[in-house]
Amino acid sequence: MRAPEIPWDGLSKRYPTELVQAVRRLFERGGPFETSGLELSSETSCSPEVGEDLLRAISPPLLARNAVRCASCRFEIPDDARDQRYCPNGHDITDPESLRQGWMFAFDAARTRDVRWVLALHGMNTSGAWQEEFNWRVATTYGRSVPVAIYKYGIVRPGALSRWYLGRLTRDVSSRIERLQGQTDADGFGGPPDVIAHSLGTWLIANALLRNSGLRVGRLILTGSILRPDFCWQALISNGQVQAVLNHYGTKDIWAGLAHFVIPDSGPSGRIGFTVDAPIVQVRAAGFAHSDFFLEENLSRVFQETWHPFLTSAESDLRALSIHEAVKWSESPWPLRATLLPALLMSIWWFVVLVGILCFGVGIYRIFQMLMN
Amino acid sequence: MPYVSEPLPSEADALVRLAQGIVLAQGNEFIKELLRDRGIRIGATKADFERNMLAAIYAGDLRREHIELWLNEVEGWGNQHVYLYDVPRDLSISLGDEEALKKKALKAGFQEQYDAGISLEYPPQRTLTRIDYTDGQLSFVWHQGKESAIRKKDRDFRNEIDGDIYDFRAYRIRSERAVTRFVVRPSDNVAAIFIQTPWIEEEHDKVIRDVITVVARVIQFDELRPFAIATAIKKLDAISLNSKGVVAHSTRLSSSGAYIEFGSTSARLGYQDVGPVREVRQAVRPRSFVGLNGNFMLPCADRNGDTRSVGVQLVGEQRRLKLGHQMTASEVWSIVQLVKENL
Repeated sequence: MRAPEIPWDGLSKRYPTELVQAVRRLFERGGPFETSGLELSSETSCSPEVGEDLLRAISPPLLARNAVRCASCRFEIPDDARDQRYCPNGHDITDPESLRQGWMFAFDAARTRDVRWVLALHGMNTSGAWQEEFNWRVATTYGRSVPVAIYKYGIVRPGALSRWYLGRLTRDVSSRIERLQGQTDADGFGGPPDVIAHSLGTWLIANALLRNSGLRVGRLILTGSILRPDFCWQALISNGQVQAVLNHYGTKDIWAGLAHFVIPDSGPSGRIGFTVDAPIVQVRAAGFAHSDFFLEENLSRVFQETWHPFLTSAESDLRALSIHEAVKWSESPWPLRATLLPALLMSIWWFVVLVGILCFGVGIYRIFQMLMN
Repeated sequence: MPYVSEPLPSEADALVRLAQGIVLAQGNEFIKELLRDRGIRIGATKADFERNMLAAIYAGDLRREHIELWLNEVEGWGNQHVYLYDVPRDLSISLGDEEALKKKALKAGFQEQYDAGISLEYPPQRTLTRIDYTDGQLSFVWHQGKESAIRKKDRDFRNEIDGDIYDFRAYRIRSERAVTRFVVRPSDNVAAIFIQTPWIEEEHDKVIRDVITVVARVIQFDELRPFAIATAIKKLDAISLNSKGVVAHSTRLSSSGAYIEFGSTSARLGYQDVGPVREVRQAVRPRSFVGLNGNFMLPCADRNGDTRSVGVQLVGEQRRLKLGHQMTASEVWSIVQLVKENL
């Protein structure tokens, strides 16, 4: 449930601002809560009665109820335990005078979600300097230790064109997640990791999940995605391998647009979004290029406004985060679809490498001849 | 104790007394279930239940065997303290031999109690009333009648006596039966002592000593190992982080000279429903702590498989569970099983 529409400005005119702000913060942090006029007003100069008036003014969405407590320990006695003789702390509650009543105001909402640990996967053309910045952002956002595993597979340029090499990287990613998951379980962090992936990292994690049906991740954030826009997330979600997916795409992402022509089974989902009707969150970042999410001036805002809400919102609230306009996409003709072009590029690359080695060898031979003469 | 299906006048009187005690002591849902099962008119209030139940006893519609069957399932289950023990495999095997156990019990002098009918008495002292081996489990049952006072403010009055004003405060006295049980279930490798008296350390120690003295005449009690409830507190608390039907209302964890406590101020919420508090809890590495106590809502299932949540308190140092609701035997055993799975 998203935060309900409450006329905060109007309330600020009728009630002390500090009280209105206090109750507004409760709604904004998400999840269920329950409070009383006494608790709400205790950090202000207002009286409990004013606090209770304010809470009553916003009921609904708050639900007012009369709570009965043990007078000795203040433990609330649930409705179905009113005929009990003792409160859970052992105080006799058969005498009506041993009980106290007071108004409580409850807001029912789904529990927010916890981020246990995160895996960061970089792209093909960098060693992922953004991962350190992202790590810092995570470490300072949550009031506890959230481990960030930074997976670095090095700079991959020609290798990204090869199915064999991508397959090897995919297996590496898969086994790394499984190994880390075992360690985090032992350390009490528990559960599968949330994953943030960029560029080739999106391809690797998605294909690792496809190839290893036992692999599980929590919520998955894709940036600069090079997956095909018709990638079938539904199957992975139904199989419980992914809890939810956020595709944060930039409308000026050139590299995501080109990937389809050179990297097998890829496409411009990082530029136009996914086209199939998958139960995923898609957020359009107007004017963003391939790596703009990680620029110093953007990362903080992107994290706070989009990634953090995606990672922590209740499942029922996720769809409301989407900002996306569906675009039609069809794959290119076969010769242009990362089939002939990668082979051509690989041939050129190997030709350049061999020529370079040959020139180097000839150069060494000539120097050796000169020295001998 | 003779078994009769038609109520004799004296038997009817005992049944009436028991029914009156039951109406006051048992939860409404359980009484409704008994009346519904027998096709007896139910009514809306406890007064209706009592009236209809008594009429059914006098009419012969509600007989001893019906009440026995029902009592077996509901009397002395829930609203009690439980001490759990692990039964070693070797002992479990020997406890599977019903005939051998019967011989031992009879040899130990329990001829009167072995396979006796359910007692309808309110003995003033805790008295062993029944030992039986049913459905693969060996049970020892003690009963003790007691009176309790229920404050009735509307019956208060003032009176002038010899020129002075006296304030009389009214309490309604009700008769109850406290049930103490020792049950061993070899198939689950678990044994338990159930005590219905409020927790006072000396009193519980005495009850446990008395139970052991009796039980040890039939089985090797010293081979039983008490459950590490402290571990279950930590594990159940960790499970409740993932909202899987387990709700932690409060948990206290200690660490060599200091403790932390998480708690909810609301009966409707677990403390982990509140995001900022859950964040703090996530920072706790359980292996650095020992579970001192915890108040949980745990899922339990009755014999039909219907589930509900009941309040259970776990006390680590005393290795004790406190079941906070009236429950059926099946529900209690499903809670025991859940605790055992989380040791």
